[in-house]
Amino acid sequence: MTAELTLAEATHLAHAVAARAMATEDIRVLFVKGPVAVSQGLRTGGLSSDVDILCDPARVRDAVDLVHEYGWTRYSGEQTDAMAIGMHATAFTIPGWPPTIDLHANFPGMLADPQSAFERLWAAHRIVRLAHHNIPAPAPADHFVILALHALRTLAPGEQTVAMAPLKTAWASLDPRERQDVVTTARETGALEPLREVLIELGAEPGPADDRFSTALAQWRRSREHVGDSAVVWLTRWEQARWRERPELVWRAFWDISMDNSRSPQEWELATRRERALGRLRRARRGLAGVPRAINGRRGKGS
Amino acid sequence: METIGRTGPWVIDESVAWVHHDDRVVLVKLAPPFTALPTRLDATGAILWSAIAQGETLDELVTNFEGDPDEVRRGIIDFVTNVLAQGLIGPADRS
Repeated sequence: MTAELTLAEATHLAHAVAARAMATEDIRVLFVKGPVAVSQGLRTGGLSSDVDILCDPARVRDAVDLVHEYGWTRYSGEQTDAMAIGMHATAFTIPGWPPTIDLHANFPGMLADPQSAFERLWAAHRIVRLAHHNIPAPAPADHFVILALHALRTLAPGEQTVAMAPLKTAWASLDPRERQDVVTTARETGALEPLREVLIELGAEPGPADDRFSTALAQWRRSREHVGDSAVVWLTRWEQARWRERPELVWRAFWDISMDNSRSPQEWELATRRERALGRLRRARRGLAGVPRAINGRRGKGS
Repeated sequence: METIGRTGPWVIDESVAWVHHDDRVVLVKLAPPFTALPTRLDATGAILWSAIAQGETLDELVTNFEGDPDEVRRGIIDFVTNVLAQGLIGPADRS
């Protein structure tokens, strides 16, 4: 029966499933992007295969435990503890359902403390209706900040014109008061500097520079300058990790074959021991070769 | 004599999520462990479900279909009985 579902049907229903699951344990979550953004007029239609959930940072572990209890499957391999290695989201699937459910502990580009950023978003949250159920979502202005950060995250500096068309559509859907709220939210969640150029291009006045998050801002800019360079991603995780987390980080970076993008985690599960061994060797060689480049890139930028 | 539960109106149970696209309805009951697969209602079932969601009674539902009224009525009662038994709908609060 599920195979005959359209992706739109399944994604709408999966929002309701995830919302109800989290509500059963009083875990505060906000649903972002995808059909929620469409229902708020921030995006035109279009297929989304994900359910994106921003979770109360204080309850992320509870949320992960909960979905495991329900038998949902961690998409990136059961052996991967995404949160422990600095990934901002963990993806799950509900057995038999096509959409992935991305559980975010924070949102990249919101440089403020994740808990305070979440509380700021939660304080103004709204309810949208999907699949005839209540789905908690950020207020439209707050949601715009998230959509803009998401649009920029995978674009190198100078490429942001690619992101501007959908952002202009979203911006046009906001009233003047909400546009002011965008700037306020960006400032309060630490997203003002990441979004400064975009806000100016949209005609907003972002106000004085926010220099509270200089280290995190440098990391955000570096990740954008090296979009797609996994060595830089891992180096950033290394810098952000506590010492006791670093041994696992090294093991994941060089040895955890389930994280190697040349195959899906599921394909790696089925690989022979020889294939996995060869994959690990390639991964380790590639990783070691990338470290000097990542470090040099960092020094070159003086950050 | 027909009971209230069989003459309507009814309400969709609040634990049911559903979408209506084109000529079909897809629904799922939201209950732990939240791994139930969706159920699809095509054509007649989708029409009935949507009409029930709008608060139509059994007599009103019958008017949505052509054919022998008694036969149509029996078919609708079968459908309603089935979804009532599954807890997908319940009698509307008439207070």
